[in-house]
Amino acid sequence: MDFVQIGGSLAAIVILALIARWLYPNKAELTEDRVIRNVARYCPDTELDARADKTYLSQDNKNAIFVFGQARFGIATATALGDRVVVRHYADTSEVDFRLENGKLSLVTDDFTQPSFTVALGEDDVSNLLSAVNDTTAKDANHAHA
Amino acid sequence: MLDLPAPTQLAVPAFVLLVLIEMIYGWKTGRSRFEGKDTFTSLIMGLGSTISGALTAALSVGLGYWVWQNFAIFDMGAALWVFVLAFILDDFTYYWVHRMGHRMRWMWAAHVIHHSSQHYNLSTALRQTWTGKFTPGLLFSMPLYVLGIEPAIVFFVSGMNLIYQFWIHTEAIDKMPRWFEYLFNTPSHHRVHHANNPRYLDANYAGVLMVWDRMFGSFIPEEKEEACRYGLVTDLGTFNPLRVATHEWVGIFKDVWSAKTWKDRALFLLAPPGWTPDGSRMTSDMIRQAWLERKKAQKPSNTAASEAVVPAE
Repeated sequence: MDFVQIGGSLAAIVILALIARWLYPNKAELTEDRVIRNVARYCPDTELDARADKTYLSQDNKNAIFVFGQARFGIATATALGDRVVVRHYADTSEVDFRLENGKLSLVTDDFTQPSFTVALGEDDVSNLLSAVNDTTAKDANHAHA
Repeated sequence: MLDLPAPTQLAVPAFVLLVLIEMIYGWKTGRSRFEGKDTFTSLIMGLGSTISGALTAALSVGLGYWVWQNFAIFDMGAALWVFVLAFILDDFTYYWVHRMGHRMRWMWAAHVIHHSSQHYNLSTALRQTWTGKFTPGLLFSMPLYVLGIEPAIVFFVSGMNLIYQFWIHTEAIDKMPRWFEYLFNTPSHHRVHHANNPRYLDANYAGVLMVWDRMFGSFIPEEKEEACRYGLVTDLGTFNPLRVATHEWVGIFKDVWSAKTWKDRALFLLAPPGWTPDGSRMTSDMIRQAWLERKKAQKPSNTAASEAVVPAE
């Protein structure tokens, strides 16, 4: 393989990707229903509770944090990646480091395949979310000590 | 040393043209689906695979010719029948390399790249590994050289095998004629292989001939009532090609580093993906078992709202 072949291949790749982007524009945003459906798919052994579960959707509709009503199931995150959704589940919320910077909440985890996760939420949502997560963590700790 | 062409390199212009044709066909009919960043990542992985293959070719060529020259039992020559025999034996070898690529985490670390797209189209066929030569997969061809087939012939038929596998990465073709579906790998069979629905996990490893899956009990047909949903059990949250190429190696490194015993260290490499000493993660066998138990219990679980039967939104 020489540099001409590599250069030609790169040009073809960029052109094909641009055509794909043009022919198949991403219209679908993350919605609460979409988050719930994907959490249900990814976590089939959890139990959803429409009255107690809470979805915190980022203002740009790209990320969401789902707090299970039943504390033992912890939280899940959903990310719109292209036109698909990627979910992660943290039954033990102590695995997640929550950092609030400039009104944006970042979740830092030891996950090489999802390098960053940030949600822009309203002030009330941030405080409700952190309170719910702290509540979950406290309940987990109580379970652990019981 | 026989001077044979590299079929996959010659086929690249046709691959590009066919991806473009499928893209337009899918746009017109809705029978294929692409996404810009996903397509870019798949194609970059393909280019990277070609470059890494060229850089590491000396390893496979050198090892192959050393074994052939020193241990070959027969002198097979290069008659047409040798190419046919080599194709069939290479396809059999491919089946086992591929099966082990899903059942041994060391080999999965290289192969996982090919399964990391949530889309299934001709660009997915080109989403190939950069690290395949750094796994035991290299050793599976050795019996062919010991039998007396010259490595150049094996590389050639192996390239032909990969070219065959290109066209089966599509949703645009539903089913082929029944006799063809029985004998050969088809888009339908390979969709099952790429699906992450519990029902379809670890099935249909064939390259060209479906007989191997039927013979060794790994054949699962595509069911009309359960559409395939593509990707990994835990999908990647990034399009970054470097992370796509290396994520499972990083995972293995972390696990081996933190393992407490040498047995655990070995099993983090040799056991199926998802294996842990404490069972805190799930292997595909465990996922399928949990699915079967949910099904058996007829528990009104979250599957009612699941996307397992709704592959794309």
